[in-house]
Amino acid sequence: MNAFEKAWVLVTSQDPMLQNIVKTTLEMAFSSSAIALLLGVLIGLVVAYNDFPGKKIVVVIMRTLMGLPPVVVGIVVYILFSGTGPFGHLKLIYSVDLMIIAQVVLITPIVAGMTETSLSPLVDRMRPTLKGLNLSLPKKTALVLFEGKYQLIAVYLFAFARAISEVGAIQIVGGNILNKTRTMTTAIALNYNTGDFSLAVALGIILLAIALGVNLVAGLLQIGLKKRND
Amino acid sequence: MIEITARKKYGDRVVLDIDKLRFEKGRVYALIGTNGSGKSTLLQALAKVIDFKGDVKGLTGKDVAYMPQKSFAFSTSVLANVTAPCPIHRIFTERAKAKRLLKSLALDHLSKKNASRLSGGETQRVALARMLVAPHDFLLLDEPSASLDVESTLISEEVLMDYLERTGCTLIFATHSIAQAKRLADEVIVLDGGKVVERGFTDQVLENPENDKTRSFLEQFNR
Repeated sequence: MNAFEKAWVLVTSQDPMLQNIVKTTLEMAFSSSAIALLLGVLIGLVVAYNDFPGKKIVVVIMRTLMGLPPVVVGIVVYILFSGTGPFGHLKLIYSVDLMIIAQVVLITPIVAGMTETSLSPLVDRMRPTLKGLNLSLPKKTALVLFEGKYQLIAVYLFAFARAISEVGAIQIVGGNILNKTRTMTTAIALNYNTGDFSLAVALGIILLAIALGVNLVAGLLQIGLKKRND
Repeated sequence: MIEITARKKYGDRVVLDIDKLRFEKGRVYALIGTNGSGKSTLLQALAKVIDFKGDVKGLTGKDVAYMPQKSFAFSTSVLANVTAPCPIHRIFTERAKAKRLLKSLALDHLSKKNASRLSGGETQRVALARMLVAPHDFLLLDEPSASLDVESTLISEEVLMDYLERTGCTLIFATHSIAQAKRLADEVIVLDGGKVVERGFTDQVLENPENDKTRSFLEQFNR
């Protein structure tokens, strides 16, 4: 049985183990990318809209953090939340919640950096008008986000792709526990380690199919918004 | 009354060097001068859209609205663009006023169109309507008719003058049109190299300029 056939059998067999893995993966990817989007867009927008001393340094730091190594984030979050760590009392170690936290730490700088980069030219064009109209802060924010909706959809897709495909950090803080914290990527890594390449590839194909589905939805959303604009 | 003292540099180039320039309430001021003379920068400083060394006195508690040379049209309907400055709880009640404004600016047929798809002249008229939908103490307009044809310019001026009469608002506008300065302004301020080189009543400055730079600037229009 080749990988595609195995993937098809896995999907159609309604295997509870696979269903659990997919559920954990989606819960972690959607939650972490949504939280990271909220935080990252806010940070990116504040930096893009305002001129302040040291802005260039902040931008450089933000762009540097976009390359945070997942394993490093995993280890740091693990230390912070392990039994002896400052947040150990929360007892989040080896839980999906902690995996989400690690992903948020990893993805927020990416979202912030991409938001700042993609919205800066737009904000530069809008700034004199927004300032000249004396709009309230919520209104200014809403207008910039509305005008930057296409860029923000692209930013979200990137954040989601990063969340669903990440393995290093979540393996460390989640522990890859079956029926609890095992995701598609950690399952793929495990199957590779045990030599079950075809199952690993089959899981990879399902992962890609999910990513494709999310991209299609986002693409349709963009087309719909553009049509409404015209 | 407001008073501005401002100095602004871009690199080594001084683009604005103004000392205690005053504007009285309810009057209309035209800023004229060649390209790069500092008209736009002065308006931006008054609106506090840019950072500069100095201060604007008398603005506390005053509502100042500024329309840049190239206003941004939000990618919503023209009507929504015009009501954008209104507080959210008053947007629906202000729609009637916005519709009347659009009609008087001959834009009512575009009210449902996406404003980001309009021509330069149409965008400029929408931006003007957006300025005039709410009452302000000071209205700062940077070349408000730069993209308009003669007919649209005259219509816009009529609407603008009507607004000033109703609200008692102070208008300060930059223009390259001497004719427009004559039609609208009580006073003319001539700028050169970021400095005020002449100021006075419109007829006096435009008919009998005292400064050489004002004379040479005005001669360009008489050629």
